[in-house]
Amino acid sequence: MNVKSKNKKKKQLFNRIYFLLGSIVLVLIFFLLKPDNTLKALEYSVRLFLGIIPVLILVIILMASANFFMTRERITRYIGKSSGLRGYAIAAFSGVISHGPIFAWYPLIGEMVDEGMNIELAAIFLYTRAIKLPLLPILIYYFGLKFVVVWFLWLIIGSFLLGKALGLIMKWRI
Amino acid sequence: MKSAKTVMNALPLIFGVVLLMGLMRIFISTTWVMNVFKGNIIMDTFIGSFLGSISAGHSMTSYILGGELLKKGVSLVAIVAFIIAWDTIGIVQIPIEVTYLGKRFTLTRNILCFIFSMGIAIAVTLTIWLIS
Repeated sequence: MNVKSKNKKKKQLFNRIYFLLGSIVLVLIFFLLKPDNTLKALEYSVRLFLGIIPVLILVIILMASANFFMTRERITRYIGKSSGLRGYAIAAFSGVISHGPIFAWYPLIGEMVDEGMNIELAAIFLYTRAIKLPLLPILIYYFGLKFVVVWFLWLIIGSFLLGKALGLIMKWRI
Repeated sequence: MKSAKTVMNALPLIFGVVLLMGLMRIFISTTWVMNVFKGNIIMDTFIGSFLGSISAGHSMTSYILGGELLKKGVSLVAIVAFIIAWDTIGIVQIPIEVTYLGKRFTLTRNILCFIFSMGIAIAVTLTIWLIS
């Protein structure tokens, strides 16, 4: 690792710590102004964090597996720029079946993009996460089956269009 | 292990985002959200996307809130925009996305998701209207 790369990593680490400190300061300010509600917010945060621990463990396992099985060549073939429809299908399907908050998946997606994953597919994966299979009964209860079928189909179509649009914009040189 | 280290490195960001999500979940009340919609379909769709973008929490909350908004007479197109934006845009999570996917990708993706939340909402509502 060269000096430039080391400095970049150090800067990133400091930025992360500053962000955390900023969030803590904000919580303290809210606590001074509205202590009861802030405690409720903290309780919610703790529950949220406990809920994402299994997802983080799953992400670590998936990343380790990807490092082991997914060589750069395989990533390029299955989810790379020339992966075609198969790549789109893999990204959309993975997005639909993945669980937990979106931010828990960023490290894995970032690493896959570094290894050659098509950014259009990264956008599709993140977009199709809006389809939550276990929650469909709630959506059907409130909006009806017809709505859910139409909503599902448009989200899939939208994800492909969004991926393409993002790919085109990212190609532009500013 | 490299993968564990990558996730550990993300922990300060994850802690920070989780704290901010807690604040937003409690301080942006559902009553406030319900009173923001005014009855103008175009404005309500934009408001739906905007509120969905700044809101944080479990998707189930957006479905329940969307269902209640529908009962209160808010247009379906605004509600769909709200639910889609809730799930696809993460203003609070932007620091993590920027760290792992870069500024340009994050900005482009979130702006496109905002536009698409309104576009898909219109498409869904029109399709339902056409097949009804």
